This record gives sequence, C-alpha cells and structure tokens, in this order.
Amino acid sequence: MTQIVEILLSGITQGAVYCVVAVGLSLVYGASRILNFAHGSLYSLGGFLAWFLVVGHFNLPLWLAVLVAIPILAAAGIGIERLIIRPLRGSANWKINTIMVTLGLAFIVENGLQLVFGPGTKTIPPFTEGVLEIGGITLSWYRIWIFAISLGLVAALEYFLSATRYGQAVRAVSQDMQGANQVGVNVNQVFSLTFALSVVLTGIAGILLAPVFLVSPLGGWAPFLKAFVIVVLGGLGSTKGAFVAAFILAILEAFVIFYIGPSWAMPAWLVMLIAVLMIRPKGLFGVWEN
Amino acid sequence: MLEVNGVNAFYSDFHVLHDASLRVNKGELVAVAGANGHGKSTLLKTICGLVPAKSGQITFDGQDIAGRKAPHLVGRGLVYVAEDRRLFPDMTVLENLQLGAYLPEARRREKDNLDRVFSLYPRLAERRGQLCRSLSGGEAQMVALGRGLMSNPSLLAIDEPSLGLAPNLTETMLRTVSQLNREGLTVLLVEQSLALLEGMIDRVYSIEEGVVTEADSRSLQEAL
Repeated sequence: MTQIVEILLSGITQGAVYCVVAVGLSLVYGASRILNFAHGSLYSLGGFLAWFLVVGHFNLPLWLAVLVAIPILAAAGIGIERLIIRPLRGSANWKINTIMVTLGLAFIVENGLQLVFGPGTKTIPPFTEGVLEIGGITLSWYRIWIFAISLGLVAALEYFLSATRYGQAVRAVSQDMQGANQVGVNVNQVFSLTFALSVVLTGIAGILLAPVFLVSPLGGWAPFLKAFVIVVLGGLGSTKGAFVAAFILAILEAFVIFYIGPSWAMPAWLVMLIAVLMIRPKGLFGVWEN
Repeated sequence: MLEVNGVNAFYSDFHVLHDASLRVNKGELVAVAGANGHGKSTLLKTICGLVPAKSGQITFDGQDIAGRKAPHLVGRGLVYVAEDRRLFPDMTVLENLQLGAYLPEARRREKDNLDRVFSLYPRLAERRGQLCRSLSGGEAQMVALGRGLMSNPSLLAIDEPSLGLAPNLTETMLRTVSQLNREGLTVLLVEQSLALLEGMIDRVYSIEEGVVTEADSRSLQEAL
C-alpha cells in the first residue's frame, strides 16, 4: 500500500511540472492557433539559463536565477512572436508555415545552445535537500517545492485568465478574433503576451527540473512530445484540459515505470491518447472551433 | 459626424465597394439597404476598420480615420455590431458585456452603461451568469447590441440586426435601436428590408453591386 501511495505521489508531483509545460503550449494554441514546435527547445533554454546564472558564471541562488530568467524568457517569447510568427500571419497556409518555422527555430535554439554551452550535459544543485517521511512514505523536499511552485504558477495563470480584464481579452481572442477586435482588443498584443507567458512557463519548468534531470541541448524534445500528447488529450487550446490530462498521464507514467519499465511510459501514454480520442475526438475538454 | 467619400474596398482581387460615399449627421438614424452580397456588411466593416479601404476618405468627428484599425476606432466612439454577433461563446453574458468596456474610455462609464443595458434588457440581467453558447438567437442579439453599448459609442454601426430573428423579436430589436436613437445615439444601420424601418429612419442609402446611392424621399416611400 505504501508503495502505491509513493508511486501516486511521484506521479502527482511530476504531473504538476508537466502541467506547466503543457499549459504554456496550450495557451499559445488557444489564442493564436499556432503549434509551437520550439516549445521544448525553450524549455532547454530555461535549463541552460539557470545553469549559466547558478553554476556557470554568477553563482546566484536558484530562486534568484528564476526571477532573473523571467524577463529574459518573456523577451524571448515576444521577440519570437514579433519577428518570426507575426510576419507569417495572414499569408496563405500560415498554420503549416508557422509549424515549419517553429520547427526550424527549435533546431536553431538547440544548435545555438550547443555552440555556446557545448554538447555535454549540465546539472545544477537543488535549492533544498532532504526528504519528508510520513508513515513510511518518503518524498524529497525539492519535489514538494517543485509541486508547490508549479501549482502556484498554474493557479496564477488561471486567475489571470479568469479574473483580470487582460486575461478575459486573451480568452476573447481565442474564442472570436474579430469579436475581440470589435471591442477594442489589440489582437497582436494578445499574441505577444501569450507567447511571452508560454515561454516563461516552459522556461521555468526547465529551470525547476534542471536539478532533477540533466540539462542538455537536445533535452527539450521529450518534454515537448509529452506536452503535445497532454495538450491533445486535454483538448487543443484548453488550459483546463491540459491541467487534468497532465495529472492523468503523469500518474499513469509513474505506475508504468514502476511495474513495467521506463521505456513503456510513452507507449502507455499513446495508447491512452488513442483510446480517449476514439471516444472523444476533440480531447477531454476540447470544443469544436466555430 | 461621419463622412465617407469615394471609398473602394476589396476582398483579395474582388472589388466590393466602388467609390462609396455617405454621410451621417450627429443624432441621425441612417439606413443602408440592399440585397445580400451587394456589399452592405463590407461597407460597415470598412468604415469601422475591420476591412481596409484601398482608397477614399473616411472622416469621423472631423478626423481622417481611413486606414485606422477597429480597436483605435472603438476608443473614439465608432462601434460596430456584427450581423453574426461575434460573441465569445464560452464566456458568460456578463463577461461578454464587460469586454464591451475593455478600453479605458469605456471602462470609466462601465457601471452606468451596464445598468442601462440591464434596464433595456432585464432578461440579460437574469442570465448574466449563463454562457453565451447556450443563448437563443434573440438573446444573443441582445448581448451583441448590449456589448456595443458598453463600448460607450457616439456612433453605433449595426449590421442587419434582424438576421435570423423571428418577426416579433426583430420588431422589438429595432424598437430598441429607435429608442436609443431618440435618446441621442447616432446610428448607422444596415438592413435588407426597409419595410421594417418605417418611421424610424432619417435618411436612407441603397447599395447595389457595391455602388452606394442616397435615396430621395419619394423612392424611399416607394421602398417602404
């Protein structure tokens, strides 16, 4: 029984981080219908940024590195949207074009990281150590912190989207772009904002997981693929769907890794995805586009 | 208040508006009538900054606004209500109305305007927490008009408010527009059938294959 609870807790804590990566991907798709294939490489960028600030050059504490990284990641998101995505908007086949361009961007970021930091892996120390033991169940404090920070980030995003006027504008753009224009929402500003938020979220996830997993230039593909499966399972563009799907899949992953083996985790995810899509082709919380 | 002179507009290579000109004076209710596919909606969208004018002049309150985008024009009081309503389906009635007051100019009067909308349409007050996806056609049109009023317009451009509504709902809707006009709101209205507008309008333009002409009083009477 203790073992099952431990596996469950491991899945839940991991699910919170998956949620941060996936919600970012879903947010951009929801607002602008762009599937950002560079999302994973920006996760790696967060990890390397943390290494640079914590180990490589400045010896900052990890929490301060996160605070320093936020404006840098936000600027990267705005820059990508304005310089790479926006010129394509409105052109013929712009959806396919943006997929190709963001895929190209992923390769550029990866190779840029290899050029600057070398092809090897890096690691950074966690900001807290030790384990919590309750009734024979052990959980590292760092994992608990990651869980709390991740949930905090998702809750802050949800609050922003539901309770602030600017968040309402983001939802308005995702539901009817012309309608949003009609009431005075600057749609381009919303696109930039969602890209900035998305890159900040995935970058912070990259930073938080840097002490747990190694940071590597090509290490963003696995989180991207996972985020993609989560977003499709939850329903493209639905942040609520991404939240629920992240926990379902992370708990499934924890059990599959323990009982069958790590290499079966992704096949199990894909089987779950296919099974859900056969019953609900739009995902758990997806809605048909108008 | 609004002056449109020789405006041309295109969808890709298709020439929709041909040297369109019209005028709306402060306090007037002006109608543009014409059959489907002749450019009525494009005319309103071009005036309101949702379709770019290729050439020509549009002045609003004495300022050239040709080429200005919708968000800028909404802030200046030129507000568009779309024929297909363009509501946010997964947001509540209240959220849709609040978004009408998105810009700072309208937000200052948000509470007053919300009270006004709810007094015009008490049903919206009852359904303030309901998602717009689940509203009937008549209720959705009320939200669309209400959202336009929340933007604190000085000129409201309304695109075919009768579209998809039962005759009694259309009559109620147009009576509300007429009442708003009598209270001082300038209105530019597009409709297919002038018969619905009898006794409401100050002047009327007709549009045929993208060519706008002002109808004189006799032809207006005949049309009615």
